Amino acid sequence: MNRQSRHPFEAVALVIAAAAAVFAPAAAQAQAYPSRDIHFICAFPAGSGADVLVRYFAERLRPIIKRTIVVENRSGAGGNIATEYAARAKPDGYTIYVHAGSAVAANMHLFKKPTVDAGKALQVAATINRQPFMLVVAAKSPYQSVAELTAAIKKKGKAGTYATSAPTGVIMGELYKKATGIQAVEVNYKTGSDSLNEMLSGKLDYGMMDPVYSLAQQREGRLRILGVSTGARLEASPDLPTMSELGVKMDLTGWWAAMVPARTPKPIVDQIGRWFSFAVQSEETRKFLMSFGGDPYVNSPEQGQALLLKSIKDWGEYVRLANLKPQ
Amino acid sequence: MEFAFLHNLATGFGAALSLGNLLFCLAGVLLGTLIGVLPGIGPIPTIAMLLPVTFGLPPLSSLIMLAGIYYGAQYGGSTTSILVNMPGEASSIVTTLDGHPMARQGRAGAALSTAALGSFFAGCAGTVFVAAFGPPLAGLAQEFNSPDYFALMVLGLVMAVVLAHGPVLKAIGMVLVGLLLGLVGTDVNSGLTRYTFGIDEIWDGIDFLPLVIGLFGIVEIVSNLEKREISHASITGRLDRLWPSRQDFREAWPAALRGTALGALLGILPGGGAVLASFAAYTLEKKIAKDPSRFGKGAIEGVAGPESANNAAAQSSFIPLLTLGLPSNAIMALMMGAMIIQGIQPGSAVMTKHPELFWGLVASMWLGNAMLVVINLPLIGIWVRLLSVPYRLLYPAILLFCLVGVYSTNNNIAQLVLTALFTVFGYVLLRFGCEAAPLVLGFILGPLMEENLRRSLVFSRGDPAIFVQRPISATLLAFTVILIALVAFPRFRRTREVAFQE
Repeated sequence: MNRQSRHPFEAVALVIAAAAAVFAPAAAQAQAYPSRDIHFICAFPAGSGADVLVRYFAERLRPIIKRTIVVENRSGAGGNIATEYAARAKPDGYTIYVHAGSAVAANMHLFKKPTVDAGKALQVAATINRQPFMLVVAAKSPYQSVAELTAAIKKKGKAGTYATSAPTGVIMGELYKKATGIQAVEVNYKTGSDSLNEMLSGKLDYGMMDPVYSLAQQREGRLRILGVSTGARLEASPDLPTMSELGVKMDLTGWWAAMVPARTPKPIVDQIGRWFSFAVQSEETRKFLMSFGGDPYVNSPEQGQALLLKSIKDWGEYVRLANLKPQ
Repeated sequence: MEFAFLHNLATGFGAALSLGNLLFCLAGVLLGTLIGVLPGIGPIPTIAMLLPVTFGLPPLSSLIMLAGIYYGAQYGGSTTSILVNMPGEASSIVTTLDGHPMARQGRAGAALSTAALGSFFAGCAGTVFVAAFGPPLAGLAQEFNSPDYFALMVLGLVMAVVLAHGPVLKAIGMVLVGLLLGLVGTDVNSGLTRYTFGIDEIWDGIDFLPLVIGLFGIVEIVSNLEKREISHASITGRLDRLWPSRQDFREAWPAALRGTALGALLGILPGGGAVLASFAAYTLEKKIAKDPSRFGKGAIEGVAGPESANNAAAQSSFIPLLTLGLPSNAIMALMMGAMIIQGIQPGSAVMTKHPELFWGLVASMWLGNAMLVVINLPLIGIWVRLLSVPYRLLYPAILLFCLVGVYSTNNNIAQLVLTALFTVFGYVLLRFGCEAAPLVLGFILGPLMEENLRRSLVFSRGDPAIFVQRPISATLLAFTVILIALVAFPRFRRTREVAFQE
């Protein structure tokens, strides 16, 4: 971890800028905050991909906030346990839920009885990144484009087979089928790498996979990425066309955020928003986030909250479209 | 190929020789020796208890340490078997048969050094064995599709039943209970939850840690407390001569060779491991000896064979885990848990994605074995003195450690409730003479087996013939059928029962 190995001058300049940006507008009320340890809630177990991201921000923000940041892993129920815990925490800014806002939104519809109404119980303080899901085929398969794949799978009828992982992959697969009228059969995998052997042996025609797995396998020369699920191309992989460009309309964007309980005072929300936005805008974080296949994504708390509400609405539509049964 | 082998070992030693990893290796083997010496605590509960501690460590360091505990325990266990006729480990029970009589005859030093040197030789051979057989098996694993994995899991579970101690029926029952427990939680294919009774905490399934700490860690304490305070046996034999005589040596080395070969093979088999290997090696030595009546009265082959076998098996049992993602026994299931906690999916990808991890672990095994010889031979007096620590001082610390470990993984009180439930359940099992190890294998393998079964059937659109059409799955299933047939034969069953009684 050579996070310190940047240009010394640049680093100094950044620190000064940080001080100016972070502390100058601090209102009287926010001056007392933070006076003790801050807890980041992570919805996945220690060592998971999500945990790496949460701990990265804990590490980045510690010198800026000048307080100990404790990462609490509260895994389980697809993130619901952490969401509920964060929503019911004291609204004082000492409990910050660092998680995918898109997943919080999705869970509102994947469960019959969500324990909290996320749109009302949580307040987005800052957004962190936005990332796509990807349509992949085996590198040695003949399909060079989505159009070629669609034509071939259409011909196969019900003999076509595809892999999905995570709810986003399931939705992406359904949207693709709806848009093109193909009838491929879905096989569900827990993680992308579980599907690799069958993808390579030709049993699977294509897959809807997360960006970290897809990019790594494309680098290794095993898979080819044909399209991404976001509405617009991302900076992280500017060469990858969106599904919408290719005639399969969709805008499935995963996005991470720092969230707090809804009744947290506005100055504290703004303060947390400034901390995170500052960290997200640094060059290092940009590189870090892009290694996960996504772009840095900066929004004010108001914009972030609007995004959360929109995502909750969108996911209701997706779940209906894909005919998923809520729990 | 030759070059690749050397290159790989160089990668491994490069990773394992860092100061930090050397220290973790030392910590592991010291701890292994310690629990090996202390009766009443074995490698399974120790590794289970240490799992939470490994969260904060890099993956390689945590695996090096946990592996060190396993093979370190094989050394420590022999010390007390020989000197005080008290096996510290299940895998060194047979060592008492001839090791202790040797000590009574004043040949304690010879027995101890035979055990240590035999273990060291087996450890070195085991390291080479893992290094040589890992890559080809991992290559094979990349050809594995869902039907093949399903067949492999079936074979693994059947093996676990065949090789478990005690009646076959109980072992089958334990595997089935494990399978059922493994079904709790969200079903990957449909996304529906099963057997969760609306409890959020088990929405993702029952966690591994409360299960193993309850079943192994705390139950172990309870059963120890039930017994009366373990009496302090006096140490038999003088330790004036540490080295075996020339004749001892001549008799011991072929036995060590045979034990190593047998142990390495039995370690790979699903359901095998150190305990089985040591029993099998003792039986083998007795069978082929010119004068079997010497056994039980201080035959040095009876020490050299099993002691080499248990070490070789401890090491080779890593092969199926690291290449196929198949834990062959309860300890490997724990190692699998440790890897998953670290975000590493055990299987062929370990070697391609994390070569430093695979080869680093292999290299650390050799280093650890070298450390163990040093730790065990000159320092033997210290280990023996440890036997005088009373259990009433030991167990509260162990219990506290268990509970803190479970709670700290995700700060959820529900985990402690689960641990308590599994403790009660484990105690009931103990009382009925049911082994928990097949249960853990069923619990770990069950979800994988189900996932692959259902996936296979989606691929074949519901036609079960897919399992016999693929050569790999057909072969594995054929083995399974043969095994079941063997167990069903009364003659073989009798042999099995006799083998476990010895």
